[in-house]
Amino acid sequence: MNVLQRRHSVLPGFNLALGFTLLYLSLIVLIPLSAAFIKTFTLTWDQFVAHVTNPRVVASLQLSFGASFIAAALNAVFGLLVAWVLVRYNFPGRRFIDALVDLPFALPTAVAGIALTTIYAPNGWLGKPLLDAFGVKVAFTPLGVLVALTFIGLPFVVRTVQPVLEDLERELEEAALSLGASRLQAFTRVVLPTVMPALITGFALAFARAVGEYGSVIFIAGNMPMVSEIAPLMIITKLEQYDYAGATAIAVVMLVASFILLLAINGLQWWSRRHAERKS
Amino acid sequence: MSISVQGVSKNFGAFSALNDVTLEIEPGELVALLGPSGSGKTTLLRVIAGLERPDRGAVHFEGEDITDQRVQDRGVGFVFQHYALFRHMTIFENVAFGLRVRPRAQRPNDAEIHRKVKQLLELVQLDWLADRFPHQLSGGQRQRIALARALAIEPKVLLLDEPFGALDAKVRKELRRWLRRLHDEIHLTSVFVTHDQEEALEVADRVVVFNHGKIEQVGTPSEVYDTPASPFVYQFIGHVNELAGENGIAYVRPHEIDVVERGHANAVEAVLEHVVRLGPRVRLELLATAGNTPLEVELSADTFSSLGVKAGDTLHIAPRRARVFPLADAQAA
Amino acid sequence: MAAVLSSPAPAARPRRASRPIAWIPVALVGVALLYLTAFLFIPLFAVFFEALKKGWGVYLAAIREPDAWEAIRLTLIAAAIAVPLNLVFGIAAAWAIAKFDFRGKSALITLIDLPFSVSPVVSGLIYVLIFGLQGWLGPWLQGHDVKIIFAVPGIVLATVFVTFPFVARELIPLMQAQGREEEEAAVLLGANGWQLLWRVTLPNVKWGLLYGVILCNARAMGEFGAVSVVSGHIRGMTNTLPLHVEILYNEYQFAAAFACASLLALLALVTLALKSWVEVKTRSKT
Repeated sequence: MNVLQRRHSVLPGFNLALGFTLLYLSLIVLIPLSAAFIKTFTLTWDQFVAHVTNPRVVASLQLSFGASFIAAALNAVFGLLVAWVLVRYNFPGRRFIDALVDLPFALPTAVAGIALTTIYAPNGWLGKPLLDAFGVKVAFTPLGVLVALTFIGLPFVVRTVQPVLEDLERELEEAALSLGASRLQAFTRVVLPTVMPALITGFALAFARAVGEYGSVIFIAGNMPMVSEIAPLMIITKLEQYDYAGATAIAVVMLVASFILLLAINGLQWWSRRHAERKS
Repeated sequence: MSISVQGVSKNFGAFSALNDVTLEIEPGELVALLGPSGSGKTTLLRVIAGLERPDRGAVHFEGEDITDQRVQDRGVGFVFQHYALFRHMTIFENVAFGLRVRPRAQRPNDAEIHRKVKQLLELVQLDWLADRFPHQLSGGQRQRIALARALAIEPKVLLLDEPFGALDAKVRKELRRWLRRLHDEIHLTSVFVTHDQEEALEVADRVVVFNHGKIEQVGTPSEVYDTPASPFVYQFIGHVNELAGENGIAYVRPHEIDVVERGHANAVEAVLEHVVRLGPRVRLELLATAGNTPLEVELSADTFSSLGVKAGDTLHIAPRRARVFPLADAQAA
Repeated sequence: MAAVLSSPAPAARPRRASRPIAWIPVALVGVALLYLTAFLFIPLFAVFFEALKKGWGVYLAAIREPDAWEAIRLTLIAAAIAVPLNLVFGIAAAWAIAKFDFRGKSALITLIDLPFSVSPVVSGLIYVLIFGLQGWLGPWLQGHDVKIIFAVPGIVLATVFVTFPFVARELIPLMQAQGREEEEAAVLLGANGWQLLWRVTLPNVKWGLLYGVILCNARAMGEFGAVSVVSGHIRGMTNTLPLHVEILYNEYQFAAAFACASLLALLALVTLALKSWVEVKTRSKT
């Protein structure tokens, strides 16, 4: 009997299933990922620091994390709004729109990238009016990066908040209204605290996804060094120059960031579950 | 088929679910395992079925040690508390499952399977539901299908985990009687788990009372009710009054107390606080003058009206029968 | 677009609450639709518009081009290998995690989700570090004339990595919620391991399985970043359809690029339609 197993079970196949799971996980994920960390050990600490504090690299990390944060924040606000509208109101095409919210999950990033670039280019459908009316250039600037990252992060907040709103008892709001609260007060004091854990989880998921995003960004970003170059592109650039150590150093920084985000998201989801259980 | 449980212990981590349990079940008997939740009764049922492996001890069927036998080979019919019907199969396929998964050599042909399933569905009086899916059935119907499915493999013993636990009161009563009748018909050695004393006393030939992973008493329904072996059994089965005395605590059933004249031997003085009419019976709620102990007395309505007493009166009562347990035993319960 | 708050107002409720001011819902729906239009609908429409801007002739020519065919073929091959592998893995992982108790289970669940939080570019890079010319196994592979990076095996590996968790993460919660009793009942009725899997467990999770496979397939066919790192962009050899779109776009062949992109967009729409269909199916079951 496997040492990992605590309780006897009459169901067969535990050792086979767990054995295959661990083997496959190790071969496809764990060993290759550890390769990145082991590769950085061929660098001295000073070399590592030199690689990741190179101004161009720092600029790219700043852009990736900064733009991702703003995009996730935008999605938190508008994602909550979209979820609210989809749950609470009935309007023509609601079901269709509900299904289409997942488009950024399903649409290949390269397709999203060229489509967004075409629309937000200075002569594009939305790019031209924005340029003419406000003098704002979207494509080929950091603003373009923001647009792409907002697109790919759009479904996360909607999909985490939506089920919580569906479960939210209408009676809670009605009770608040009957006690004399205004609609806004009922929303900020009753609804918002309930959806907060899900909202933050959705934000974190959107942020994590945006930080690593590549395909949808590179077309619209313009990729100007120090201005609109994202971190994943820096990795590719270094690889094309056969600078494996430099590429890996950036990758490790991003990996560590994404591990921290993953743990934070797990913690958040645990928190939301507990929050939901306590409410019920 | 007789079942013999010999010195079985089972721990889950630090929790002792069964502690050196020994039990003999005769062929054809219908036995109830009765106890509060966490007392080990379900664990024993699962050990007999082979779903749990005991840490110590053995289980014999008809004198043969089957402790290490595979579940598949035991030929045990098991009915789960929540039925565990296969939700993606029709009722017919649920009942047929045990026949269809037999090794090819022993598998009956299609016509035989049809005949047999039909027969079983008739036995549980639900043959008209053959093409439905489990979620389209009521709780009581699912229960009977689960039973038919368990019987399809012609089990040597039938084990039922809280068979009526998830049903409402009326259906429970009907199914109880039905199960009793079915057992009389097929005469299969059967064990069922329940936390409901009424259910155990009404249905079973013998009742096994569990507490804290140990057997407190084994006996016929009247034995465990009339002569409980421990304070726990007294408290768990039926209502009981506890009267502190010098040698220990006396346990008296409410219906074993008479209202007597003043000066009667063993008489206790008590004030009548409430009178509760329960159809043909009347329950008197009293407060003993000595020690302010609450007491319950149960009388027939006729006896009560002949007494001519009302709330606020002081009465004298005397037990017809009492059993005294030492203080230490009483505290253990 | 008069919005409706669908629950009927109980008589005792204050008048203020039972008659919401109609412009609030209209405004909220309007803003939400505006947001979705700018970020979802217009980009989606643009793909098909740009693809057909120069007419059907140009569109069909772009798709019939041999390099495009090669790209489609390679995309299908990568998905045809990655999806079944991750399907088998998903079933094995879900069986172990949902039907048994063991220590380290939650850590295992977290590790299975790991590929989702890794940047696609990094996913490609780690295979270059192992199988690339300067990687651990590079010299040995070159000595034996085996090419993984800048070749089809590398593309398949990267695709397997990025689609790794899809099926498992659908099945694990579903099978956990279903519990073990049905399987225990089947064992008591005499079923062996294969009968258990084929007759009880898999039929019970078939919609979740399908859901996972649909999402896994969409990502496998659409993956760009990871595949881009390991492919080497050899036209007609190691280009998947998304990479082919990139090359055409960078060569200013916009109509052709969008024609190929429209195939991928169609795939996305089919994916969403199937996904909604499965959701409706599972909802009506419960």
